[in-house]
Amino acid sequence: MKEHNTKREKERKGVFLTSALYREGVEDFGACLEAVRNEAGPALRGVEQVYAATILGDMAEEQATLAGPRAPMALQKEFLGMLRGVADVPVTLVSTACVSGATALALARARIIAGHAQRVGVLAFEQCSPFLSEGFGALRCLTNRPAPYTRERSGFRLAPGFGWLLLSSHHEKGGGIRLAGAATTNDAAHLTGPDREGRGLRRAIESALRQAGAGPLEVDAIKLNGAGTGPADASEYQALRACFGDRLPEIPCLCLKPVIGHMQGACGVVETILASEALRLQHLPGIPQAMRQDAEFPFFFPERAGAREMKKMLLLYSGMGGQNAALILEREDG
Amino acid sequence: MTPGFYLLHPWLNGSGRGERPNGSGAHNAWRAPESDPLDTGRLRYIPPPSGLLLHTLHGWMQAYGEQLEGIPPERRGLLLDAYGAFDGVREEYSRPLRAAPPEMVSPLLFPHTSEMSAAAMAAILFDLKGPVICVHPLCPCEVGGGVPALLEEGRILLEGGLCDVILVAALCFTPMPLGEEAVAETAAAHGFPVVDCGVALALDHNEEYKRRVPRDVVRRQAGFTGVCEPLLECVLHD
Repeated sequence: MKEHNTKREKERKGVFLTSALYREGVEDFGACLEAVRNEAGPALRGVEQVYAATILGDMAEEQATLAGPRAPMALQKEFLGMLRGVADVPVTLVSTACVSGATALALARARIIAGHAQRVGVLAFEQCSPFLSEGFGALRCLTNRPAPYTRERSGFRLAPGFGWLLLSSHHEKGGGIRLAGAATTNDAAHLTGPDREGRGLRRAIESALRQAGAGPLEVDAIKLNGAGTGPADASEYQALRACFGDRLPEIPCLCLKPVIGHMQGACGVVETILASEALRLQHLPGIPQAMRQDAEFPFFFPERAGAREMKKMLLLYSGMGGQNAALILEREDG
Repeated sequence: MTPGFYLLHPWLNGSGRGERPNGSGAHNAWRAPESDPLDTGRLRYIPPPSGLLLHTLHGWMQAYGEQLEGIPPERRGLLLDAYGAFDGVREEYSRPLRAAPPEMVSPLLFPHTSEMSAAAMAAILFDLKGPVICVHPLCPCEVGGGVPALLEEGRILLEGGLCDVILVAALCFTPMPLGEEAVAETAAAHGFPVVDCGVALALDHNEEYKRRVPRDVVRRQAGFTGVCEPLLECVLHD
């Protein structure tokens, strides 16, 4: 009996990504929920808590006029109400700018680790409203040709999308992807920009590694944030350089925002899904922009996609308000 | 009226009237100059909900701040529930954003429409470098957020060892462009008056925190601004 309990205890300590779904270019929240209901329906059974990650703090002015003066609040309520219609469990909205998705994953993991739940869903959704476009436009960080870590960097491209991830305390089939570590920190340095020394991000990386019981030598690949602005690139490089030292140029890196766009509140979940697929398939996509890479930030981007043996992957996210998050994904042997 | 007018208008205390450009909000005492211990007037670019958060946390810090001594900033976090508080700001700021080309709009205007900016300002001012998270646990009352569920999130962060102390703050803020009529409607719908207010309290470790083990949460007293009985009842009786 004692051995059985010990085994169960070991299982509870793990947090696995057991069901994933994402869509690019979807702006209708109802359609997203319909997809979750249809394609991840069976996985919804037994979910004890859902974290909804989004910024969604805006809407088109014409919508506001049509829906009446309470439309902004009504939209968020509709968002949450519809979500509860899919999974009638406690729902918590997480809105920490572009790190919302990763923060929701960290909260979900902490809830499972603390033993308060065994199955927690994370749904991230973002629209590309005119308000967001105009706001980021005023910040001068929008571009149609995102090129992070190159001298041609000029920002990011907004993209709508949603992602759904189910975290579970155990994995029924052999293998699986474990969320071995998840940490969030704040720079407490600047309202919009990151700490140029990357100190907050470094703390997040170190904390996530500690949770995973891993050292810098055990990280086989890095999913960079890739916001595409000079300060963000510099901050990320400084943080990684401080953690990995001379080994950094040898670790293959992955950057998804130039390919799928920046899904803001949803990017944490969608990029985690894509990175977990790369880890599961042991296949790292190539980054064609490596040819024009800024020499100041010598990350190693494989130019061509190919098979690569990977056990642990570090995922980085940063956002407005000095937010940082670091996740460690670990591939369990089957 | 230039797009920058909204940012530069001294809502908080510069004019001495404590009013928003549309004339609303004069009933809120916290906006009056004499009730601004944080001197938020120095921070010219903050919207009222952010000012309310800073004011609330400042009240907590004045009363209980010494209890944070010895805890490194990296182990201090902030959990903020500002659900709906920034809706009015977004609606108001969206007009200048759309009325002028990007180069004519202050780059600070857009960030301030986010509760994350309020949390970031609090993190900077009060040196909180642990998890700084804006959440809203859905609550049936739909006014100030589900405070018990908010406390649960704080407890989970502590139990997960992500920080040693976490300030939990909840704002209740009427979307001001909707005006007094909306305030009256909301009051009628919920059966009690809704007054702009903020509540802050700290959840912290117990004596065993250094061992980083799951632990009970020791609740500290709340610092608050304004009056919001439902929120305070949640805080005091949960």
